[in-house]
Amino acid sequence: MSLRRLPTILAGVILAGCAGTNTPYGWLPSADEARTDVWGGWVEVWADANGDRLARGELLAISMDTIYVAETDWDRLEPGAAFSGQPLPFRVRAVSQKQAGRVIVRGYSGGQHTATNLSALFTVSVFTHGWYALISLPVWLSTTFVMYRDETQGENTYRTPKRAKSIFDESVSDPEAEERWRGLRRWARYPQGLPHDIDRDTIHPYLHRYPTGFVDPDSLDIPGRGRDFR
Amino acid sequence: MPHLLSIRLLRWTCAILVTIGMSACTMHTIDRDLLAPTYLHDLRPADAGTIKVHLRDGSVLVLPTWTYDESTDEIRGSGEHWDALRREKTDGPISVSMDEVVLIETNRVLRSQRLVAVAILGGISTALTIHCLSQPKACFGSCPTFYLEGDDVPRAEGFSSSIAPSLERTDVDDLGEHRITGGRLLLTMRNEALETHVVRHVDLLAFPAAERGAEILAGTDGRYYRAADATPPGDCSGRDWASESVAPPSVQEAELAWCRALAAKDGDWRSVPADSVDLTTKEDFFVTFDAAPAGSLGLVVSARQSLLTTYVFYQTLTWMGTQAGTWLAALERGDTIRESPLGTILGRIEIAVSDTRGGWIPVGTCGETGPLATDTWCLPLSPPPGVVWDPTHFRLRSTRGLYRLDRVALARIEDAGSPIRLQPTQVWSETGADPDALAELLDPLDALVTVAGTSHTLEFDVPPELGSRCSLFLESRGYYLEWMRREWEEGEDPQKLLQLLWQPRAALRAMTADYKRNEAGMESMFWASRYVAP
Repeated sequence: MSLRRLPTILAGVILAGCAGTNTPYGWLPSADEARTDVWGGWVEVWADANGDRLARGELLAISMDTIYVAETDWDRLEPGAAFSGQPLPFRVRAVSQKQAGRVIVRGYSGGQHTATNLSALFTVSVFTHGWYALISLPVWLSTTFVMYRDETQGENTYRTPKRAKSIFDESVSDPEAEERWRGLRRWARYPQGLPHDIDRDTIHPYLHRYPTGFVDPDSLDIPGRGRDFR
Repeated sequence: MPHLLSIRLLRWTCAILVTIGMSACTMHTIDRDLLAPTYLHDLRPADAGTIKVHLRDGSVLVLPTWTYDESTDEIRGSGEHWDALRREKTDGPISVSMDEVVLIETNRVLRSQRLVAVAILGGISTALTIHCLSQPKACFGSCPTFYLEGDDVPRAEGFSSSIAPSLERTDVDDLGEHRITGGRLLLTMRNEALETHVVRHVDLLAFPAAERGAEILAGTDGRYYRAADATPPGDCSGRDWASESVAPPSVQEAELAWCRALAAKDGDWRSVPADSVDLTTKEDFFVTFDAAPAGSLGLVVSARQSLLTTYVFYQTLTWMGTQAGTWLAALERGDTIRESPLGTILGRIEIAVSDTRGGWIPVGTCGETGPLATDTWCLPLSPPPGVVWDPTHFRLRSTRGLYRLDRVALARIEDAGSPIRLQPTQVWSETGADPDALAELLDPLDALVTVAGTSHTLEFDVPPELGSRCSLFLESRGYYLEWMRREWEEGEDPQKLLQLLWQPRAALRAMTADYKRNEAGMESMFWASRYVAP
């Protein structure tokens, strides 16, 4: 391996640390708080076809073929409203499993994401190890790779099976992918599925009053969470 | 011991390791399961802990304490009831029929094994980072680095300032005392930098070890001295308070810390940042000893340079850019570059003794180019005829931020005589015995050429008269050629180079702002640059 490629590889590692989801600061409960938390985890859904992000917000429910996400409706957000303390417009977005190429859910803060970030940080620090970097660099690169892979492809993620699905050919079904799809329910607000008689317009997402980055800790009146801010 | 981490660094290392360890222990992961209601009878409240009971209408019960009543097929407990829109309905005793339950959620909070693993690895990595930054030679090397048997860190580096053939020099480094076993001694020479080394010879200069409490030191006059009764300074100051008022308490505290740092050669430095306006600004540092030992005196100074000279050197190569070869050829012809007073301007440590009347009597200089190796010099003190001085009060004058003082001591010295010169009798390279390399090192007209990554082990036969323990000095001669980095070529600037050669003071002043911007993080930047690309 040429040393000239080293910066490129390390840049990739750093980006790996920043990869995954872009969860708003303070949004997720700690692992201990998540035991009693009654809200869903943070989810981001990307399209299979072009990689566009289809939805991001609180994971409400997952059915056999649809994922429901409560997200801030940025299209309806009026200028200045975000700073006025008014409730933010929100919507429940339903994305079909066929559209969703990649889904990543984070149920609580810390854990795998922190491990990935720490690994990436330590990988960069091998610059200071001199000749010992011959040992420490491969160790940290492989550690970061494993952490990143687990975070982006682990049990809290779903990817579309590589082979195209066909209703005429059962052999191309991917039981593991289906299992993962169902497994994401663990981090949903309604793991049993969206209640039949619920009015979707009344389902507000967790932390719906303030947009990302403008959280006023003292004026939060949303029950069930918020200890992160106090 | 020069290679031990200082107490301060050790404390920092421990603090970081404890912080990382505690952080890892406080980070947890969740093992969350969803169970059908029929599995509830398999759950024991003590094992399951807090459960969430999801009901058909979308509401959820959070029950830290609960029991399952088989007779009524109900869950009873105490906790919170949240409706489907996550508004809290009740908080207290709750019972619910299993007919309404669709899922039971269990959450086990576990210590994150992965984080613990990352934290342990990270702790080791951090310790290595601190070690490498405090002992750069141990990790990076530069010039030829030399290791004695059993050394994890190099004892010396050879001819640091010999950056071209015409600057070939003989360098003597203090290797300290070493135990001899089997009448032979092995010395490993490595090329650990992006450089080509041309090594003319590598000899050992040996003395029988001095008795306890004494040491053999190389004098600034080329002789060797046996130094005993070494006394650490009792007072250190950045100003000559003896001729002024008493220092303020905050200054006294800093000065006390300097004195502690200078008590032993242990990697605990006294250093100050370079001047913010002019890199050539000098600073005075005053050292006072409580009493002078009886007999002939010598001032012992251990120091290494900061990265200031390295910065100037690399900046010079950058400004040479693609024309570096041309300029170095000019250097070989003996013209402008060698005559540049750059080295004189930055200078060495000038030492003066108090004349008891507020004046100072210069007694000599010490210092060596290179930011890696800490070297020790013994400056013999003998007053000129008819001059009265106070040999307990010294002024050390040097370019501000250029030197890191590790030890200053006043010792009683006597001539140690001439060392026994040992030449290598065998040389091994990576492929085995290397008689050609041995011949090159022994032939004064020939030289051993090494490139990055190569290593040679030299064997020396030790005569019986040196005993089982001896004081060793390494004498190496040669020069090295720095490999040009691609990024250096992009900064070619002949005008600035000419200014550096012909108006060095102005050039150094102009360089000040850039140097100060990088000074704090220069150590890590410098070492990183050695690995980016040749």
